[in-house]
Amino acid sequence: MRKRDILLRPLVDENPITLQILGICSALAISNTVLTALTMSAALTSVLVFSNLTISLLRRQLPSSVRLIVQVTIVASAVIIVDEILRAYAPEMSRALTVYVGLIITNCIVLGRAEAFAMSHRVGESILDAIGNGLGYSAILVAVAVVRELLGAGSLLGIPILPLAGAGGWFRPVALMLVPASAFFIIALIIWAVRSRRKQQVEAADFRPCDLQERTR
Amino acid sequence: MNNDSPLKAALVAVGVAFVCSVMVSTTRVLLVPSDAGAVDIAKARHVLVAGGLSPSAGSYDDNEVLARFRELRPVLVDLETGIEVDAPDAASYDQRAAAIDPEQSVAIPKDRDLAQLGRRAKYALAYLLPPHNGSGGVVLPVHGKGMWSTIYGYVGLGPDLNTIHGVSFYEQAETPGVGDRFLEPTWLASWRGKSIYGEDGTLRFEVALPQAGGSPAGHRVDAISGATVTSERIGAMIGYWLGPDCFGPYLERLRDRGSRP
Repeated sequence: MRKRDILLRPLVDENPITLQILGICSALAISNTVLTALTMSAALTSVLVFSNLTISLLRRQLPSSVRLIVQVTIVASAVIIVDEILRAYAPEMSRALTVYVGLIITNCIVLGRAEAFAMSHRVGESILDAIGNGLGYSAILVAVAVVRELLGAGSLLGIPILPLAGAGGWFRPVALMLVPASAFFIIALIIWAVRSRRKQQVEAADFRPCDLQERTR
Repeated sequence: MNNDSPLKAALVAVGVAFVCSVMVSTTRVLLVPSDAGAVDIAKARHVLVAGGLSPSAGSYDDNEVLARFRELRPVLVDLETGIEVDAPDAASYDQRAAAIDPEQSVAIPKDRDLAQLGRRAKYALAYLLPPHNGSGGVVLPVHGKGMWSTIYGYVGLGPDLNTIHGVSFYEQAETPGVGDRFLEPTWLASWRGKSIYGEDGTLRFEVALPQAGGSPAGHRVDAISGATVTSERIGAMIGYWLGPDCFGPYLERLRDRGSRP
């Protein structure tokens, strides 16, 4: 695979959220404001780069019996380091993200890339793959956050964009956008949009719609 | 060495664990100084918000926060008697450490444990607003169980030691996006001007859904729909800390002191 493809395919064609449906948990919880989404994206991308880099370096030395536990240890250490740095330099942000930085350990994207890519590719390619997947995750997270913050609070990055009805303007915030469930709808709409352009992403139906006439006969 | 031999597996596991633990502890040790500073300033920000000296926790930069924070006088209060304790290092008192130290804490009887804490420290660090005798108001630390986590914050009372000046919470781990909506500025602002005690001096304040026969609006903050449990627990914890078992005796003394000429 060409280097350019490794970096760019995870953005749309192999996006971890919209195609593989991974990392949904944090995408729902942390996408209420653009600033938290950007911080979370940066945190996940740095953990991903570190874990792909380290695991790719060690890939020939890893006995398959302890492979997973070693990967998890490496990912967990990277997450703790990122969490500590956030706590020290951006305590307010660290509070806003609550448990979700810690939960990057269980984010399937990280372990997924380690297993599926870093274990079988060279260091340079693994880093590109990590950056690509980090950007793919970030793109969706930030897109969802833009919609949610704009419609839910009338602002972007905390800067008021739509004048709120409560303060004399015309815009009534959509309360639904403040609850995590709204991210389900937005992500679903994004998936719909992507798959109507890229038909090859459409999955085969798991079940055939039941034919009532056939059954009653 | 064969990659699949047990010896190799053990070596790799121990090696990775060792390197990782060194990395994690090095980060921790390197970050401790800035960590400690950040936490103190962060708390000071919330004290200012509760005291009505800052519109929100992020309103001022660190220097401005410190300057305004110095206008307050920290006092160590013996909760049982309500007497201010003379302690030169009062400002560095760690109430959280004290609450789990059997020497410095007392068990709370089950039927009076509104905040579901189990134990509380004997002393608490309050902040007097200028002119520092209670007639300017006071900021009191509060904490208690929410739905999942222990919530820590400050509540500020005005010169009458009854009207709420402001309230601010600095630590919690309620459900993100659901329970943690109690941090929304509009809801916290709705606390301003509510009275804690009724005409007869009994505690009337509560956080609850409006209903017939409930507390009148002057004593009630509306619970957040969808976060009712968290809201009501916060109300209960305010009731506990401002009630007769905690700051009640101290507020009594402050009121006496203020009414004297």
